[in-house]
Amino acid sequence: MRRITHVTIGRVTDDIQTRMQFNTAIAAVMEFVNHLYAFRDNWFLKDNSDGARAIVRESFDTLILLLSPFAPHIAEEMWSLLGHKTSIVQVEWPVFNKDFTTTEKLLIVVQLNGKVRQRITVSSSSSQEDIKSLALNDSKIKEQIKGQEIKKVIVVPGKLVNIVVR
Amino acid sequence: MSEYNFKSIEVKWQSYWEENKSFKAERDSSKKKYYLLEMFPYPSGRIHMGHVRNYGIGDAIARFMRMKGFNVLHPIGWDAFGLPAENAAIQNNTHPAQWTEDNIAAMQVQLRRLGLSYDWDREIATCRPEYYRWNQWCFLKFYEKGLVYRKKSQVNWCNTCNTVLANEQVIDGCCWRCDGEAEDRFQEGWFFKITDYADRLLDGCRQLSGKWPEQVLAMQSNWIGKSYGAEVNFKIKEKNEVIKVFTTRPDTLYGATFMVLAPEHPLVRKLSLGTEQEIAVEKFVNKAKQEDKVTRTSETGEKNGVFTGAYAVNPLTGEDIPVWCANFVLMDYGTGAIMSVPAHDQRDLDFARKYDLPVRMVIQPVEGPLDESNMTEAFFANGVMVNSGSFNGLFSDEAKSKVCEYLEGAKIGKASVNFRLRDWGVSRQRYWGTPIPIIQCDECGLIPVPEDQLPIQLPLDVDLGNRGQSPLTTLAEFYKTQCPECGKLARRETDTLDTFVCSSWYFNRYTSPDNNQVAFNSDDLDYWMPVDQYIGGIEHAILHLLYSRFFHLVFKDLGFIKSDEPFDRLLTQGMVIKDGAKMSKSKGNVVDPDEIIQNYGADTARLFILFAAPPAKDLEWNSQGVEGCYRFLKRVWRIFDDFLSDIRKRALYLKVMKLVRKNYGS
Repeated sequence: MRRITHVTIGRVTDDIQTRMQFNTAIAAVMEFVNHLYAFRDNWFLKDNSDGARAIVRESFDTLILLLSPFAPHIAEEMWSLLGHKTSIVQVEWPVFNKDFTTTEKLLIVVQLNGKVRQRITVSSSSSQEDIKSLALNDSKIKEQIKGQEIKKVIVVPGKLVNIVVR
Repeated sequence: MSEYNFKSIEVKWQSYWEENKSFKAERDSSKKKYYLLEMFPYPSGRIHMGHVRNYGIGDAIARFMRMKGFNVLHPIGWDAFGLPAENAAIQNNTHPAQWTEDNIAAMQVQLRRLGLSYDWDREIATCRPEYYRWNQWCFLKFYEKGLVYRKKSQVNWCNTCNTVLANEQVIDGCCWRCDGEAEDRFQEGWFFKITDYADRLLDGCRQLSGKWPEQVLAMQSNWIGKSYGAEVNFKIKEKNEVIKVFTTRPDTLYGATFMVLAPEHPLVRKLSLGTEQEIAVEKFVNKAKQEDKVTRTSETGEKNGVFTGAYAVNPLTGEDIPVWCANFVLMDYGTGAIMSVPAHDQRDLDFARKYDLPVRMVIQPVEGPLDESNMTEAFFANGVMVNSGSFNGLFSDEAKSKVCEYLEGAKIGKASVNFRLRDWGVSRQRYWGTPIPIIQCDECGLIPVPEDQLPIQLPLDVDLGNRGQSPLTTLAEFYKTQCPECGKLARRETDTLDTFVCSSWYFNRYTSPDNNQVAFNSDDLDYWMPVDQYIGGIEHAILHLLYSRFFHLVFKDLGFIKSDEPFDRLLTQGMVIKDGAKMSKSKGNVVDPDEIIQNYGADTARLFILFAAPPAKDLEWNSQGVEGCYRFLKRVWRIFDDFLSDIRKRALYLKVMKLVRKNYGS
């Protein structure tokens, strides 16, 4: 969620500031709202930690601020309902943090001879080599390939690792 | 769970912004300024979707820049003089001032309902003496600087509006405002010497490249129309007259086999006088003057002419060449006379073929010589000079300057630059405008009104009944005055200023709108100007946007202002289209912004207008799109509401837990 929040900040800021393309800026805000709906079930039920709650809070603060140049009234209303004492007019535009946009975890499928055997999570910044070694060192995979000869390892970035054994 | 109640939300926050003066802009040298401006509206009485689009775009930028930490100036005002008020007043038996102020009040309400982040304290209206006083002051400053003069000249006259129009205000031969045909008249009036600034305005276009839409810059450059070439004098045979022409192709001078004068050219009648062509010329001239200029000069318009009976001498070949008069030459461009080189100019060739005039090749293409007697397409590219005496063998492009040198040496011409731009005629024979601060005295001549007598108030107690003539011309209390020099009885100028004068500098006035000592306070001007982002329609490309640049350069020369250009960046927003045509009352495809605000709210209206198309492109209105934006805002509200109730539940939970811990220990 935090990644999406910051990707959206980046898109909206750039669309307004450098390109003056409000249509794409608004489209980005709309996508952001779709993500909020998609994540809705995860908000509290599964992770009720202070950290997770802070991230959700950041998402909503951001949504309101990003929407405010286009739909200022609803933005002010939501902002004040969140307990803010100042008008949104006096609030700073959210700061885009590139770090948050690149640290996402990706779910990678690990196959043995084309059959799915395991799922591992890797950082989106991991190299192909990193992903390969993570897959080969996974305990469940290690168990399954014990004693077999590894012929080939195919890495499809962001998707899967297929280990061909004999 | 609560509903998205846009009505109460919007009213609540509009009042909040108003009461707290949330958008008040104040000079603050510790903060970076950002001056955002949309072209101020004419108070027609109702805002339309074009306004909503213009201001919606501007407001999004203003709000964004404010949140980015800039000190934003975002003002609004009214371009309030002009003919519609006068016409409406006659129709509805009211007064233009009343009509205008009522409209302003109605439109203020509409703009407020859109939640635009204006600093309302800076509002101006050009029809109020507090503003037009300084408009008169500008006129006097221009006058002092020698940039204003009075002359009798051929002007454009609109019969529907009963007034003179500037060249920029005649579009395709018609009045810019009413689309009525514009006709020529010979009339006296005041002019601003915008031509003195032609070169600097053109240089500025280059500086603005990348910051203004290229289309607008191209339109301005074309309108200024600078071309390099030569001025050549042709002597008239057996008469003590000289015809001066401007040509961009001095290299083709040897090929000039005839000349053409505009029907309005003063020499036409003189030359034909006493020849057997006299009557034919008279007839032709009278007919040609009736034709409209656009058709006369358009590619498809029929080219007609008549021989004047006189001959000129080609200064290079020494040959006699006939002088014709033709409809396609205009007095407004160049000198109103041309030399015709049919082999190398298509229009000249068509004319030569029609009237069987000689064609001579003087520029030879690399492929070989032209067929002079049969060619139907002129050769206008570069080539090698032939039949051109000592210039033979030279490449035509390089020969231009050599021919000019020769002309200068022989004192029959010189290298020259021609502009298409003409001086700006600012006299209007109408009532609802800024009175021109000039007094006409029989003894002293034209005397500017002394600055301390400003404003020359526009009298409000007038009878507008006499349509077609400004009531000022018959209102003795107004025009009867004393000469400031000799004290004798004198007459005030009764023409008013073109309303485009008001709008040429209003953005400066916003920086110190209440100052009654000066037009603009220099500290305020230095801090806020130039406008960082200007937004408006492309229809103002050569009118308002060129005039404003001209004013700004003059202000700079007068030492009022530091920047070269008034508007650093320009965005020209596209039109709002419905069912394939621009929204307009006459087409009956108008969507009233009030109706959208009533049914969906200002936020939906603004969101849709920004979402439906990029700002520079035309926007096709579609009601499903409006519905879609409304649904989106409801969707935002719903998920926000969920989140809010969750926060509340959590807070309650924590509170309870705290109580539990307190009362029962951990």
